[in-house]
Amino acid sequence: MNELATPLEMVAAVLAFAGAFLFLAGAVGFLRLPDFYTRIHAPTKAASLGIPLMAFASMLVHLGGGFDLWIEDALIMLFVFLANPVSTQILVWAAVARKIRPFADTQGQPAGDSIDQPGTASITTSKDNS
Amino acid sequence: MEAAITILYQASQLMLIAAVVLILYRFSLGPSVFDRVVAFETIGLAVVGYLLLESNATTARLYTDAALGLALFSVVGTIFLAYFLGRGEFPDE
Repeated sequence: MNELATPLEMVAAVLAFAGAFLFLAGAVGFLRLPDFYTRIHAPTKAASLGIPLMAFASMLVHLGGGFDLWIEDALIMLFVFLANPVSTQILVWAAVARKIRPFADTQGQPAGDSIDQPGTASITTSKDNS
Repeated sequence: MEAAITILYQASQLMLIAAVVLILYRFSLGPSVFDRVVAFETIGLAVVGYLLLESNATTARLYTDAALGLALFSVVGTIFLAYFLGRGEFPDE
């Protein structure tokens, strides 16, 4: 790395820094929020934007350096941006089906199924009341 | 120029390591198993980001393949864990 940095590499470094900062913010939200349903949204949003930002930065570096690897970075970007919200949605469906209790200030109920069990976050199968 | 870029990449990697430490603390706390599944997925994606940054910083071309495979296995493994935990009993829309 003796040659002078191109502007493309500087833009890539700034984008990667922004992605890593988003990831750290998502981790802080994942640690501090009070409830599973509020807690899952922070790392999902952060990872769904942070990983594509870092992959886009890597794609810029590979395109500027003349490597053929930019297609793999594009695949990472597309796959994480599409599949990470889907996995989160399926996890929240599973949590509603297993009656993970939201915290006390939550207003409203999930559609189609009610979570009204008092106590701590309980994992019970919903077979015995259906 | 080069020094600024190196400092940016090292700061990004340190922030990802701090994020992994916070997620591990939530993994040890986690009241339900779903928190631990989300922590598992997010640690996998943090390792993907670390590999991408390492690939940029050192121009080593091998890390990108590992990042792609790890991203695939992390997210798809989370989807399978969610189906296993939900046991097919998803709520109606």
